[in-house]
Amino acid sequence: MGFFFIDTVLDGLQAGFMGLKNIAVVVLPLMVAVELAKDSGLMEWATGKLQSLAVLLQISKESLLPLVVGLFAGLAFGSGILINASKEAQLSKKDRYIVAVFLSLCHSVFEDTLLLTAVGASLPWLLGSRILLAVIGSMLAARFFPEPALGVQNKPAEQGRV
Amino acid sequence: MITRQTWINGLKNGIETIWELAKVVVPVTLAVTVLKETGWLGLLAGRLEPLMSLLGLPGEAALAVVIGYFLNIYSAIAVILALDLTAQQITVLAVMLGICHNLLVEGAVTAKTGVKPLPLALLRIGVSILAGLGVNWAF
Repeated sequence: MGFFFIDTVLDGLQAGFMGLKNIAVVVLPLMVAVELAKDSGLMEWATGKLQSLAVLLQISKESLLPLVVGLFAGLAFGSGILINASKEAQLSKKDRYIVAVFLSLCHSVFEDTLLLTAVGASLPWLLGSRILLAVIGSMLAARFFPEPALGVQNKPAEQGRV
Repeated sequence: MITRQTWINGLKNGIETIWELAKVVVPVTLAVTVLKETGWLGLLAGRLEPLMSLLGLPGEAALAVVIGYFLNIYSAIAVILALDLTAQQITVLAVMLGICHNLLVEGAVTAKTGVKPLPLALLRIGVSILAGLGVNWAF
């Protein structure tokens, strides 16, 4: 019994440290890469390239930066920028709502994805499903957001009729 | 602009994250291994087996899901490390956990942007379970 228990503890410690090693190999370069991406202006560049995403999700161009930052650097960073942007750029409630739906389903794609891949998950499944579901989720959020006064004017169907 | 400080910040964040991880991953993996090998986890798992089998997962995996939903991905990873799972099962769990994790802390963070956290949490749980079913079916 005593030996059995020591074996179990050693098994557990070994599994823990092996896992930690796999994770550490991913995390250290990743954190450096995220800082480089933030300071090099890559986020702003990506935001410029992703304008069509704003159209797809029906959000203003101002809401795109917090979305991109949250997507790559994490929910806390994205939310921080979202809070500031809400004050400065007067983001509508709908914008904030759609960005929050998107980011709550999909954020810090590098860190989360690589951590889970490090313990054996399939990368394309993990990344693909999350981004796809976030896009679908926020498109539905945009579609069904209750917006009585402004919403009617913005509906594509109404514009089409005119 | 990239300066020396950028690299220092990155390395600092990396080391801090690894330290935070070490504090969680090693003890949780150890605890779950002990629970598993003493058979206690099996008692809990037996009850959840019918539910988890819908996702192609063993009953023990419920622990990873619950811990991931309410605590964080790191602790859930520690549980995954202690269990014997196939690549498909790990992918199902990973997709579910990627979509829905750390609900309490992240709920508080998103609430600061003025969006109600409860509907978002329910959305994440719902989408996470649907995605798990989908990946188990399609993988």
